Amino acid sequence: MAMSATPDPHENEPPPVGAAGAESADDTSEGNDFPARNDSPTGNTGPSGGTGTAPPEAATHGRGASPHGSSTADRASTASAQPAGGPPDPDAPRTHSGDDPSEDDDGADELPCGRRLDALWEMWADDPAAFDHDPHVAECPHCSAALAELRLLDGFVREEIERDEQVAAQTSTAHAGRVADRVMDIVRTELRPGASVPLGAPDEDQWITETAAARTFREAAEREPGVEAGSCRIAPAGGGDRRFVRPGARLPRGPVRVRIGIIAPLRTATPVPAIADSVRKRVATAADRELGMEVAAVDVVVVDLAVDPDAPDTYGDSEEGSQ
Amino acid sequence: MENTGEDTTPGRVDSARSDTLLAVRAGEGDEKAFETLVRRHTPVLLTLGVRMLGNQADAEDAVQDAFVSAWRRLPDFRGDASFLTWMYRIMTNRCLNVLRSRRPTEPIGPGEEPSAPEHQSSPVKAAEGAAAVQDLTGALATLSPGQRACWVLRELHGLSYREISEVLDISEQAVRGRIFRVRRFLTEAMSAWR
Repeated sequence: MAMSATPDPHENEPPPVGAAGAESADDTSEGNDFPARNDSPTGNTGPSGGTGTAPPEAATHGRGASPHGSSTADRASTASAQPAGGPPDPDAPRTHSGDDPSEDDDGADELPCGRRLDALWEMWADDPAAFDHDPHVAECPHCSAALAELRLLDGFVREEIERDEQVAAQTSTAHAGRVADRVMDIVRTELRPGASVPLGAPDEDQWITETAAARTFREAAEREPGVEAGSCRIAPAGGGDRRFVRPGARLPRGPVRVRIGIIAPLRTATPVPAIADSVRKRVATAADRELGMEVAAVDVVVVDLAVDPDAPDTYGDSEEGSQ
Repeated sequence: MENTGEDTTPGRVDSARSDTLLAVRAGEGDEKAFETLVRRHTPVLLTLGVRMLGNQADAEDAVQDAFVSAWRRLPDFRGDASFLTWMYRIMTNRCLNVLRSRRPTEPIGPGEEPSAPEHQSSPVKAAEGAAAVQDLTGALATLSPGQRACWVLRELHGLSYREISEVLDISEQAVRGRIFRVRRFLTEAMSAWR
């Protein structure tokens, strides 16, 4: 098995280039083979980036923008990026071997009749019936031949999908369950309990993890029919930015403020503010009676509305309407 | 919030919405919410893994690694993309890394079949259809990992160009260009079956 249960602290670090948003940037460290997209094609973006990976992207780029004018530059950068005798770049070695489809198409985009092959195929892929109203395509031998080729390929692709589905139907449930079990075994060794939240009177020394308290509050909120609970954060009532509380740290002893996000059912009988108010009371009651937590305020944030008032069981498995 | 695709069928939107809620909870440390996401999306990611990597064992390892990585990153997940698109992204990058690490030791040339993918070896179809699909598989094996990812996500998983551009972090235009070139390459490779 490739994955060990030990987290690699470096695995998720974002790459040095910072053009993308924070959420997406960290993924690029996992093996984006085209990291130089917004940089100069020769810019070195890191150990896995390098100049060797830029040419395919440059070629792709040039194709769309200017099929003829850019091809020379593409080839030039390809040549310069793979100098003879240079150290092999594991990220790029075969991209420009002879079987690479990007190498053989310069100037071939246009059919003899003047139609563009990529546009023709894309139209067909988007909507095979699109050409019913295009007399040229039906009569043109070039267009017809080009479409026949794509149809042939499409037939094989559909066969491939069917075969995959047959195989999946036979084996997938057991495999998927096994993989999910393995994932959760690892996850349970890496739980994130969050900060410790004070329980009881100010002079006591009792604490509960934020995740445990949040679970209690979400369950309380979801006892309101049709409500699904989302985010639930707990902060000191006196203010202070919750985001800077370190994991595992303790909140100061004293009353707290609970902020819970819900998806509320859209019902004619009960207006949304009344539902939110009811959720607030349920959370406050749970804090008082189930946990013994001193809660100064409960903020209910309605993040979405659901059309169907039927209550989901738990954890949002229900597929209720959303519009 | 569901801003990731042109697909607006109700079922898709509902499940994405619910994913968003679960992802928020999982990001706050709710491992049961995460487990729901894992069990919901493992099958499709396994299929992607087999299509990208060619065998079940590597696909299972890649899905496992992808989900564990997702669990660690979820606190920073802000829901700009749907959870599933985000998972496609992590999983695809996993597969690309595996393919790249393999390449020096397992050269695959056109026409040779050094390691027939596991799911291809089952005797399912009539000989000719199987042989043609084998040809297709062989042709796909000669693509660069990035090209293969583009094509598999589009043709076998039905992702929109926009979703693929998010998954691979390249422009939509680049996705279109790449898929076009792969299609042309494959139509030529398969023309013997005309």
